[in-house]
Amino acid sequence: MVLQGQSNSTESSDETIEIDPEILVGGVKVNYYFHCKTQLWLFSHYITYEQESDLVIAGKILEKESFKNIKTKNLLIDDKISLDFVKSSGGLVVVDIKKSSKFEEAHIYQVLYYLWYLKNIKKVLKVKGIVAYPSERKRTEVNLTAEKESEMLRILEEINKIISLPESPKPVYKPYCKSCAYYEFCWV
Amino acid sequence: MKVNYYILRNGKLLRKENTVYFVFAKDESQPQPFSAEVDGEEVEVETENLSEKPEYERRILPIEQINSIFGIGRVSITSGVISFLAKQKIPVHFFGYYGHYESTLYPHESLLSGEMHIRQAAYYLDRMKRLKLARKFVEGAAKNILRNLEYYQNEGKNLNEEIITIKNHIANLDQYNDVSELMAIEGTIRNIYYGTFSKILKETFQFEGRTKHPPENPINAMISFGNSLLYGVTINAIYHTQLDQTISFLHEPSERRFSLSLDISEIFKPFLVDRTIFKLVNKDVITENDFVKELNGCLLNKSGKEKFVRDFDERLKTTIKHRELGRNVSYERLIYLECLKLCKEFLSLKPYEPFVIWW
Amino acid sequence: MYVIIVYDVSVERVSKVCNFLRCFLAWVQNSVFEGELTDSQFLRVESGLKEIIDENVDSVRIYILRTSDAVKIKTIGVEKAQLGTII
Repeated sequence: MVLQGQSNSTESSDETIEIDPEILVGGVKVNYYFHCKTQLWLFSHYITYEQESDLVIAGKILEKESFKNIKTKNLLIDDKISLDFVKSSGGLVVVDIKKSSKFEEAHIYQVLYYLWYLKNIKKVLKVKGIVAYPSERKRTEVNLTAEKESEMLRILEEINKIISLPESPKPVYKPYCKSCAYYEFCWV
Repeated sequence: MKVNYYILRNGKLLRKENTVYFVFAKDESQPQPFSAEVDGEEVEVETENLSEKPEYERRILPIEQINSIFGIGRVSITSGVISFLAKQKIPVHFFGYYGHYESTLYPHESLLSGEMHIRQAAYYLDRMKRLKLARKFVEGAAKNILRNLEYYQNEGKNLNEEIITIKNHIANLDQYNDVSELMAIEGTIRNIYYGTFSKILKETFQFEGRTKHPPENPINAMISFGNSLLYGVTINAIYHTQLDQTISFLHEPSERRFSLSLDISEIFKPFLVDRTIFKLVNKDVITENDFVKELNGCLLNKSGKEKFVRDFDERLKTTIKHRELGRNVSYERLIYLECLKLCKEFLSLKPYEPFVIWW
Repeated sequence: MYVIIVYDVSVERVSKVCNFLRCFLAWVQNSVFEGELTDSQFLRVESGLKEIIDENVDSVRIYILRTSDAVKIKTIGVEKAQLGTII
């Protein structure tokens, strides 16, 4: 397997901006922001359920099995974001492995956030992102464009706004609620 | 779904090869050399390779499948297994000679949330909020009692008077503005209910009201044993949420270490414990031979406990289609869902309404 | 899901496989285990077995059934299985 980073014409500038560290969150929260606001609030207040760790275990195994022949390096950065890196001929690539592409948007933004974090907080430029779906033999390349970069700042602000709400947002029924670890909590 | 193990024999839990073994002597009539106590005396035994000796038998409990362990017989435990079970987040409940709950080997809480903790405590401290919840617990218990009575009324027993009286008590619950008054009315309802047992149950057993510490007759022995099992099952359910076991609303937090379980199990007693008793007695599953009568009390013997546990556990595993969730859930899961409903009350997401048998 | 796992592995790995499966399933007889598994438990069993065995020599067969109701089991001779949760 070769992971290649292609250059993109709308690539963001090499300049990084000053960020208030208070607004930084874990990558999962960016994912949950797209998945469900109730889940984001509950998760951020440590109201989590064991089925979730069940899903995490399944994900870890999936990761291990898919990367048997490739050396990945897991890094926990600033105690905040946990990344899997792969070195390829094209440079450094951040890889996130997911089970199904049903929530591709959330996955893409999670990886976009990693790229944004590396660029703006760690001043690491020229990193590529990939979301891989081994069971579907699919991979999606993620590029941090200037447009996405400013969108990310807005997303982070909104995430922080939701987390600091005094009450959890009321659950809104979505077709994928049934496969969520919070299903029983939200709908009982 | 993980399962509960019920150990009725006397024996020892050991850790071996990353799972749990229960070792016991094959011949039950012989003294159990490794049990903590023989004829009132502590006996030291080496447990090394005990399971390989021919006079002993072992059962292997798959660690990944254990929800909790109920030590109902005299279950000894090694230090190795204590830390192992704690690490695997498996509570072990111990029961005493009379089949009463004694204590729990309780693993570390892993689902802690400061947010939930503060909100639960705030409910206790706010007199009106505490009262509201206490009232809901009494209401839930009373309504499930009513469901049992209505069932037997339909079966041709004359319980009309008691049903009307309890309905009136439920309708008047709003009048009480003190938790101790609610506790008293809960007791009153339960006494009316216990008064109907002589009509509901076959004449095999006499029952003249509730006696505890120790129970005086077979029915009381079963109520005590069943409530103790349910107490443990409810502790398990609470353990899998962010709720604090020690902050309760109807019962005083000082009443027991895990007092929230007293509150929640109140709602499920008529459904899970009393129905087990009705079935075991009325279907002649349990007989006089399943009890030991002593000077100052009565208790289930091993065969009696086994019959009770068998039916109780089957009941816990029975499933029902949940209306809101649109999926099958076990009766045991209903207790967990009750905990989630309390969480939602504390988070102002949905007002708590107690479980009432809906089918 | 309900699974029945039978294995035929080289003698030096037999006890490893056995001890590993004991953590998840009920021992039924030599080299056979049975029991209920969740999806993620199944993944763990599968990947754990792959780590223990030598995939060039050993063989493990897993019979997967939707529920325990889907299988009817009959024993002839001695029942050695240790099933049931009341001891």
